[in-house]
Amino acid sequence: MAENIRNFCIIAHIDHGKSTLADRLLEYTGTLKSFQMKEQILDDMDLERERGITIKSHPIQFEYKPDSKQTYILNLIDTPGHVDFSYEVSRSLAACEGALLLVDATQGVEAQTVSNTYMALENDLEIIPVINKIDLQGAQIDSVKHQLMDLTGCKEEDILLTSAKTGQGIPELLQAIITRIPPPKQDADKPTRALIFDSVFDNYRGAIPYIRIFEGCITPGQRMKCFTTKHVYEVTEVGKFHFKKVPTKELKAGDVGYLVAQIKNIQDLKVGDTITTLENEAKAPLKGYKEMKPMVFSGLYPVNNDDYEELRQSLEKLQLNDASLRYEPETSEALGFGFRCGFLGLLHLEIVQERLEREFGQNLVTTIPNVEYHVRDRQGNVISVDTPSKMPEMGEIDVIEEPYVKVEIITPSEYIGNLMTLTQEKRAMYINTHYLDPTKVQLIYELPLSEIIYDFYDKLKTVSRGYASLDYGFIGYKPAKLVKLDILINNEPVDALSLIVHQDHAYYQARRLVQKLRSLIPRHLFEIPIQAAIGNKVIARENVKALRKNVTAKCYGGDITRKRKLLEKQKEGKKRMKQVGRVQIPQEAFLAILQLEDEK
Amino acid sequence: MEKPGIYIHIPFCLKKCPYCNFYSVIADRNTHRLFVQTLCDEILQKAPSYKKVEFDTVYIGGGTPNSLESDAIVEILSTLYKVLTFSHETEITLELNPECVTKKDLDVYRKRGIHRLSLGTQSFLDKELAFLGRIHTKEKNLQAIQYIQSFKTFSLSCDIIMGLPEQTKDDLQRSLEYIDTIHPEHLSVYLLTAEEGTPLYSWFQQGIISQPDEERVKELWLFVHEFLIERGYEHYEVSNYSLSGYRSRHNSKYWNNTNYLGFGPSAHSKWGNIRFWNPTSLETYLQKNSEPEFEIITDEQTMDERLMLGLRTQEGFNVNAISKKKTKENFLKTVYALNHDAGKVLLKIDRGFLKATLEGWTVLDTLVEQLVEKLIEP
Ligand SMILES: Nc1nc2c(ncn2[C@@H]2O[C@H](COP(=O)(O)OP(=O)(O)O)[C@@H](O)[C@H]2O)c(=O)[nH]1
Ligand code: SF4
Repeated sequence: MAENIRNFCIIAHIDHGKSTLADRLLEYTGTLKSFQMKEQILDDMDLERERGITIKSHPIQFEYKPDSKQTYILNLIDTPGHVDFSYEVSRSLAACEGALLLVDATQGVEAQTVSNTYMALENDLEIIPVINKIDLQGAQIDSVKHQLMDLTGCKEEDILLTSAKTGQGIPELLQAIITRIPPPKQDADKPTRALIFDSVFDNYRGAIPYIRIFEGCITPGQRMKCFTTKHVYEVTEVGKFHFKKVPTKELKAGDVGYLVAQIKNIQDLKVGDTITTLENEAKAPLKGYKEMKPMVFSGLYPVNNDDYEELRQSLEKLQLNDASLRYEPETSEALGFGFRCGFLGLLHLEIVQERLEREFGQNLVTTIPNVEYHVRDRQGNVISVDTPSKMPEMGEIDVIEEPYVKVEIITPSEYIGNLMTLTQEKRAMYINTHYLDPTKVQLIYELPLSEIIYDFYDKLKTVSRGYASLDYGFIGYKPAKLVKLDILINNEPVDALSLIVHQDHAYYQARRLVQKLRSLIPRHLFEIPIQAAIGNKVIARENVKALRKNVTAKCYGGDITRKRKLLEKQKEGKKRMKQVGRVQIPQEAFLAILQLEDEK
Repeated sequence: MEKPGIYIHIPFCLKKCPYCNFYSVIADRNTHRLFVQTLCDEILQKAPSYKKVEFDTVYIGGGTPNSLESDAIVEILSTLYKVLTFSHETEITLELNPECVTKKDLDVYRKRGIHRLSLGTQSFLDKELAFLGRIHTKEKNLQAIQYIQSFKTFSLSCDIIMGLPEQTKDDLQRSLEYIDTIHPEHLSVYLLTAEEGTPLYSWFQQGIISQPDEERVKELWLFVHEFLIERGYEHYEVSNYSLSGYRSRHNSKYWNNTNYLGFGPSAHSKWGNIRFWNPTSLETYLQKNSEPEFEIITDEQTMDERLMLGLRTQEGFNVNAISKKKTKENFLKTVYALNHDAGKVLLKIDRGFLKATLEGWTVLDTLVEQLVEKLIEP
């Protein structure tokens, strides 16, 4: 019965206690005995565990019996915790009727929490503000209450207080979930419409969409169709999420579940798309679908050219699980055959790179990430440039436009000065300041996306001692004075090191980059000039001096094993070098721009 | 097949030098005695397995062997001779610290058949000896040498350390002029090396001492070479020189893959494709209950070692040891590319042997590093 269903999610900043709270809810409702629980059930990918972030949504269904007569079915839909995945968050929210807005009593509201709350409000979700960690000494319940009232417009008595650690406030919270969050609408008779809010790939059963049925129902044997791709598949199984996927007879309006239809390609399942059935076909999709576009691009190359095919297969497999990853073959003069890959953001890039290396054993060179530029040439043609090497000659360019984002930073007010300096360095346009309470400020800027994909986040954390938080969203393209900076190593241009920079920063960037490269490229038996050039004009230069003398040590009985082991280690290290012309370049050098420290 | 050698490690010094990574400790006479006993026991215990073999070198090193009484040295040698077989022209070398060389001890050594002495002179400038943290002075060096040479029966090897941070050509020349007059049969010329774990290493790391200028070190190193060649020495290994017929037979075993047995803490042995070594701890060693550690050297590792060690010597590395034709071709291509890149001849091939030229020796580590990965199939 749909009136006993509650679909909700938890909006929380990293570490505010989302996973712990979820565990407590499951424990309190007797869904799992505490000893059966693996700590923090929801984050189950290794990488996510290590980084403490949730990338994929893992819904879970559990029952709550407030008394002997009633049973409620609660669907907790997890939301990805990082700004790169904010569209996925919005789709998870769209699958719910309510959201717990969970805030750490010692930390207060953070940037992403704010933007996710706005998203929830846009989706008409019932929001239950919860202040967590009230057991802690430093809990500032009053000021956090004010922040929450300010943010959601709620009344003080609407705010719940919990400790996910001690379990305090959990019964009240469950009660609030069933009384305040509305049940899903009962539209089982209408034409079928289900929202895809996530998907996973199963080696045996193909791509599996996670869906929320809004109208109608789906049963095995029916033929399903996605609105954007128009592909039709026969549904072989539908089911719900307990801890495992559990098959059911049907899924109907209000339900959260999955379906199996032998869908080969996960690309056919676009998050935000609507599924209907031919048996009871809807005319129009649910609203809110957006094509997820990659925002950050980078070249991925095998260190050893022979591994190209293997890398291709790895990417293919990875993409089965990661619908937002894009790749296409690319050739670089310096690096040979590789792939141009598109990512949702820098974190997404890092995750993909790490998974390729760790799970697939690939040895990679990653090139400097860049955004996608729109370039209008003198003839008026507009082209998209997602790699510096596709940038036309400067003489042929009329205008270059670059993507801009709106950035919201929430920070304790004492760091405003530092953050202003930082944002100025990054070509930010100041928009607005908003005081959340006397000590906490929200700053709003517009910034070129390219300025935040390198080191913005790390710098933000550094200048605010870790207290500032960040959220951003794409707003559009704007013209900018950009130039292509080429790097020449040993007098040969290395295309994979080219980058696009703002004209005013070109000299400074060029100088720092060649200095960094000098320190990263090992000395060879000959001198290696490193130059940075715009067009034909060299604007910075450094030399890696030729090696003149090794300090060759003595070598007797006891030294031999030790020396040979050292040699073996060097051999291993060599495998992580890319031979470009006569020069051996270490992998890190291709990302040198990311490691530039400030000259102070 | 060459005959194997014996190495004895005496783990005692009078004072620890800050650049030294040999295993040694400062200890009292009782510990010395206990050590000699344990060492002799080790020899007695292990010898039976090697009874049928004839050895032709003994090298007593350390540490500072002459921090032991000369009787102890005699006892060690007697034990060896009691249970192992030696060729009648066995080379017996003893390392000496110039600080405590006495005529009386030298006479004992002579009588016991020790005829090669390796003297840790290091430098003939007191300021350099002080920098190196040596306990002896130039005067002690000269006195020890005078004692040794007065016997006429010893062949002498002197150690020199060069490439000190502030060393000038003049400084080095002054030491070399002493060497010229002394005219030892053998010389080991080492570059001051900051081995990990030594105080010197951390001084360099922390910038307490600045690294010597590479260009200057190279110049000095070539200068030493010229100086000694002119005076009749052959440069037979990257850091060793000798007069004709006076190469270190024992040390050569390390470089040409011959077998050797080591006794004493931290001593390494190589027998066939097994290398084993004693614990680097006197305490553990004295307890006698620790099994030696060992490694089995694979064919690939053997090749790596042959290259690494072979290129240190005048004889070079036998390219025909690379059995696969394609691998050999690729290896040779790299040899030519390295010469080409450097714009000078660093490596040459002479009747199937790859040799480093003098220029090549200046960048030996880099050459080995580049070549070693070419020993396996591309
Ligand atoms: N003292 C206290 N610690 C909590 C509470 N809730 C969570 N934590 C701790 O806060 C940290 C982050 O919690 P976690 O659930 O992993 O946060 P998530 O990143 O939002 O999932 C963990 O060390 C938890 O043990 C609470 O109510 N009180
Ligand atoms: S005397 Fe020789 S063995 Fe002893 S510490 Fe000095 S250098 Fe090392």
